[in-house]
Amino acid sequence: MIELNLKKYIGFSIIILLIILSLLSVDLKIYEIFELQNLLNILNFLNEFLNPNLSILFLKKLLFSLFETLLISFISTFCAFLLTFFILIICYECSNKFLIAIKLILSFLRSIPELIWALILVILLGLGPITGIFALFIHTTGVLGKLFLDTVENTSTTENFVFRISGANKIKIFFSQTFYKIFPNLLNFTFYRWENNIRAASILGFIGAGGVGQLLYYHMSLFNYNEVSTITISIILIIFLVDSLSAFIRNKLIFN
Amino acid sequence: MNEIVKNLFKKFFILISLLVTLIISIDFLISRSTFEFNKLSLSSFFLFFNDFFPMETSLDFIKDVLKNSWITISIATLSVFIALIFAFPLSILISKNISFSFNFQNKMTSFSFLSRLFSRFNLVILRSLPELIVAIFFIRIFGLGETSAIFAISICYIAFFTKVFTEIIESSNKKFIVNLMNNGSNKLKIFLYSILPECGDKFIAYIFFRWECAIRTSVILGIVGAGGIGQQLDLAIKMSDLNEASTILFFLFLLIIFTEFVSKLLIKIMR
Repeated sequence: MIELNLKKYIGFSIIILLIILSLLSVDLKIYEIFELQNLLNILNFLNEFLNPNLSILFLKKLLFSLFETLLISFISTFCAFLLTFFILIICYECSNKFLIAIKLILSFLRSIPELIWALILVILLGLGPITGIFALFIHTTGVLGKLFLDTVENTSTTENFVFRISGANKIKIFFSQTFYKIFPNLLNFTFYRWENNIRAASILGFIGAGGVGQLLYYHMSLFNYNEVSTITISIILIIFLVDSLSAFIRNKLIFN
Repeated sequence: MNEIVKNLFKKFFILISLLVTLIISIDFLISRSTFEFNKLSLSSFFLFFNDFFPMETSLDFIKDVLKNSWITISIATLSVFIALIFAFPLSILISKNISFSFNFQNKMTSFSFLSRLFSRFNLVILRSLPELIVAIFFIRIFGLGETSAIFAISICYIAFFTKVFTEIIESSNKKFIVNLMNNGSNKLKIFLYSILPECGDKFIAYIFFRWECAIRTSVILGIVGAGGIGQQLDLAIKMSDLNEASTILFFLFLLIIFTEFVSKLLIKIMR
């Protein structure tokens, strides 16, 4: 068994207190699952779910919006990668105050979820996938910025001294030294974010920001569960595809 | 010299083709959205930002926001707790490492192999389903409220937790496990006496990382009406009370920073 010392007792008691307090403040009704009406609802739902709509007209529409979802996630991740790389070059060995200011801005961008950004931007930029791209782009910039700056901080900078004496400027030092050390890590983080962004892009449509979510929300509101089941299966497939592709790239191509 | 020029051309070609595909796809996306860029849209952009700015700072409103953010935290905590109750036994059962038949006969019996394959397949499906979609299904069944949010998050997180816990268990030291097995201890005892002391830190770090993620997800679930600070923000934006929305956004920022701080502190205490 684990040895329990005073510190761990304190930690466990804090966690148990947190759980009890949250149980008191939320009206969680676990017994609701076992009520007859809800059980019937679940059975009904599953019954309608099991015959998906496979007409060609609908599948064509679905394929277009799946393609749109992929594009949203890919373009936003790519643009965020470029911008963050630019920020990284600017912040390389800069003054401390500037770095703190940049980090504060990035953490603000990061702390507000993608969907909330989309909620604000829908009013600004109108409906459609462009809004989704901007929302994902803003959030991803925040996350990638934090991860990239942390990796740069953790790399050793002892060799930079030699380069500075021989007269190289910051950008030259960055591209000749630090870039080679951190680039695989940066690509790794970017692909990891791409996995998250395809998940987000498939639900952005619920608030009208493009992608396959828009189709799902439309059919959900009309209670067309046959179409809903087709869309859900396709979302599962596309996310699984992107996950395995990105895992393959990360394991085989980047880290051999 | 010739090779250098060839190489340069190759790089140039790749760059140009990438740019062209990017522009074409952006054009496709613009054609499917109502996005416009002209003088009118720019002026409305600045008007929109002006509306954000005198922040709503009345005491009643701030109290309301704080109460809602506590509800968000408690939804996340409870859903992680419920997910853990299911994820620990599942990962003990699934992991190949503490399978008796695998360790004693060097291959699993067909029943245990098939059941493992089946449960892993189910977990893959659950993992690739976004939480919001599950939440909408639950809202159709149970109605609006925190209950459906908690169920949705916990069902998705069971899959996440089980996958990572299985990986952690399978990477643990095999010597102790085989030794305990030979002396006749069952799976639970192996878990308690060999795996938990060895990989306890990894479990705790992952649990708290997921707790932070759960708070973000529970904010998002507020949009479809699952309670908490997300719902309040959604209402404020839909009513176009943008000065209220800016206060809520500020508190959301504080909430995320606070949870990151708390999880770091708790990880440090539990080590």
